[in-house]
Amino acid sequence: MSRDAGSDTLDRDFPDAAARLRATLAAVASATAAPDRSDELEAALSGEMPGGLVRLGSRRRAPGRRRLLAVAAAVVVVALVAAVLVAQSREDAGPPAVSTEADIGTGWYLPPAGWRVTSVDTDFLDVGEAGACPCTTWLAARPGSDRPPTLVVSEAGEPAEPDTTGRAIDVGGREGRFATPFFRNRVVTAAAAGRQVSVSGRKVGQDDLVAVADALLDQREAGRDLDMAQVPLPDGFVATAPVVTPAWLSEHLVAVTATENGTGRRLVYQVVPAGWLRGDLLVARSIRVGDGVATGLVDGAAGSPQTLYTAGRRVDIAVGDSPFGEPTSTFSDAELRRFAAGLHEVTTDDWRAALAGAPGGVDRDVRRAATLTSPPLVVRHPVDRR
Amino acid sequence: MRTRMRSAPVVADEDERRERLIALYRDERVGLVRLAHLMTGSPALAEDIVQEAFLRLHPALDTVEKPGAYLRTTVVNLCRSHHRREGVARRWLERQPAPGADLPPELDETWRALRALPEAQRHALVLRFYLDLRIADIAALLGKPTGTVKSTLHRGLAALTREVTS
Repeated sequence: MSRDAGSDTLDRDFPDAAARLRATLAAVASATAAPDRSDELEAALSGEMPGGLVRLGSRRRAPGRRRLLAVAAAVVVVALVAAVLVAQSREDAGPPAVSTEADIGTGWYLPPAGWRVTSVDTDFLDVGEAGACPCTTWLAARPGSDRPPTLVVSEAGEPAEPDTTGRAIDVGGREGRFATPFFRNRVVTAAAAGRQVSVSGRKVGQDDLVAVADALLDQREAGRDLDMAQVPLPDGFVATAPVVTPAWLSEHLVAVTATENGTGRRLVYQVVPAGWLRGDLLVARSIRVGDGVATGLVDGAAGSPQTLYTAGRRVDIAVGDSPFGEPTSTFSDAELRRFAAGLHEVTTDDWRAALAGAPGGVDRDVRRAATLTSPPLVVRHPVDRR
Repeated sequence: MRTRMRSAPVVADEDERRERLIALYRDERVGLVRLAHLMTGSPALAEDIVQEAFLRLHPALDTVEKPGAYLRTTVVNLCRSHHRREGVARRWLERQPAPGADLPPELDETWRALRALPEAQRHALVLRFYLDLRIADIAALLGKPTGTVKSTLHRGLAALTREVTS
């Protein structure tokens, strides 16, 4: 394709960097091995083995290529556990969650007094599997600060390809699967009446996972609405409210960079359509659950700042580190909780007024969207439009 | 860069569809794995993403007019969405030193600097300087305004220049 005016400007402004980047990309690409894995592809198409990536609800893993990653994941676990041991004493008793005083329904949140919005960016989210939704998820945990036992439960459409991850087990007379994938979490998956339940747990035994899956499938087979209150959760567990995703949507997270007046400290908070951040709470150092909402502190990787997650409401929120790796300041647990408690939902007009004063860049789609879950931030997936 | 669907799909025999998909895989695999490697920084992940892209194409193969463009769009989307789906653990892994190709020092330095860039900048730079896409095409592919793509590219090249000259 021919160059365009914008690119000519880039080559003019950064001639050395542009030339070196082209040479680097060409060299790395040429050196990239791309082994023929058509046998694996054929096997996956035949349902004899799982496909390429872990998908929503189906918990499938890629085959042997993931062994190196599994080893690396084990290193991650060790690193996170070490960080947990160091950080446990920092747990505080601050406010429980994001303010719910003004439930306006836009999904637009502004920072507390003393902070100003300086830029807003977005990132694309892709649900993954056609037909999986409508789907429902819950998070349940035994609140605490020592990497407490945690469950993530999802109920979705049964995938077209059978799940062959792990080993076969009995789930209330149904055939299910038990696997121990990423982060040594345990997963039980089983299906009935065209629906699949997947229960992922940290520090939760297989029998408890099976009991949860069995109870939900019983409800589905009986034609009842799913009710987590009737599910035998392990002792001390508290569940969040259910999050229902109605259709297979392509959505966006919105990352707001805020700057503290006076100090100039920078912090990023993400607002995300409900359900996206629950999985991150499976690696939380501490979790609180109350009023249907879970909050958890997740240690930053490789020395990056920690992040406070809130899940279970109409919008998931993460306060702390940047999803794009942009530098941010480091905040204590109490500071993050104070900031999160001060986030407040505003009308579209108030949101746009705040963006108008932002000195940094603001994504154009964010300016155009009436709410976090309106076009152009949310679109139906092209394949699902047929 | 949207991939159009035919309104009246032609239903092919399943065996024939699989044969077409495997033939397409053999034709397109290398270029797609290279693209995914450059976008994610991980060759193993790149292979998995490309496998996934072909699995996703399979049920839609009869209705997609341009399978090559569809695959490329899918690979780009998977590279981008993967970041969120895999969460904290994967992000930690991505920040670790790369099992690098055997590159001359100055190119190796640039490759490391590229991998350290924010994801949005890295993706835009790869699409521009590897695929040689026009800014309008990058904007369509990423679902971003052209102005955002321009500023992202500008910031990315400026950051690379700082990194490799510091």
